[in-house]
Amino acid sequence: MMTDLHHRVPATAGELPALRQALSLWSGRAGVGPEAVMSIVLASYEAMANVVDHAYAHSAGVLDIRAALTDTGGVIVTVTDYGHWRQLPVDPGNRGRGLLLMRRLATSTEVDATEDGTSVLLWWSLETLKKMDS
Amino acid sequence: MSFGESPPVSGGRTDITVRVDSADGMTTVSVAGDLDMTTTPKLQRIVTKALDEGPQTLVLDLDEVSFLGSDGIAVLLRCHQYAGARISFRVVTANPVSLRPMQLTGITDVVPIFATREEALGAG
Repeated sequence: MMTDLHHRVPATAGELPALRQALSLWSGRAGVGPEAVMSIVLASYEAMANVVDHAYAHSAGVLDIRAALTDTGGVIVTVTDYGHWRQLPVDPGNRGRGLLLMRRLATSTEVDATEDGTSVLLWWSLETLKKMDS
Repeated sequence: MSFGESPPVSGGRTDITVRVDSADGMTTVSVAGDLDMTTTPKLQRIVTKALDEGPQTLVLDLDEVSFLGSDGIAVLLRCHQYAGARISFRVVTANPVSLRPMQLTGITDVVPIFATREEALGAG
């Protein structure tokens, strides 16, 4: 039985390299192939970078990252912050491309924004994961 | 469901190695390491400085890059823009780690990408 991954860290850029490495190791242990690991790490990074850039405008805050295997062999990653949702600017620039990457890499991408924070849910089906490394 | 937190994380690469070589109006900038929001400012500075020297061609070699996110993509676009019409800005990579994000965001349609340095330096 694969243990879920969960880290809560300050929402700062300097935390992200170690989280990418942790997620990469976890995905590898979960039996995910190298191309799919790359996809999971990149999409999750984009979600976390979004929190670092936008979630906490005038204060420090935390982000939670969780990864788990689903019953059907897929992978779910959630990235949660407790800041305020802000509309994407008209020219979304970097973060607009981040969202584009998430959507193109994961089987599905869901952004759940409430007054208490934002949660990004990235899901890869077993089929998507296998296709990437076939 | 998660029961408690995983052991604290440590490590992860936080720096990039950048090498600049210039000869006969051709400048090559080679990068190794993770290009994320912690390292892209360094690359931006180095490439901008190299472009200010006014070479004919600047080749940015990303073959040894171990991570490329949207921040890195933005730097590539800014460098391409900064090079303007007078300097030919070209990217080299055959490595999916850097090639894939460029393809997925469509910047391969904007910035010329070559599989090898020889091809990039040889192209008109």
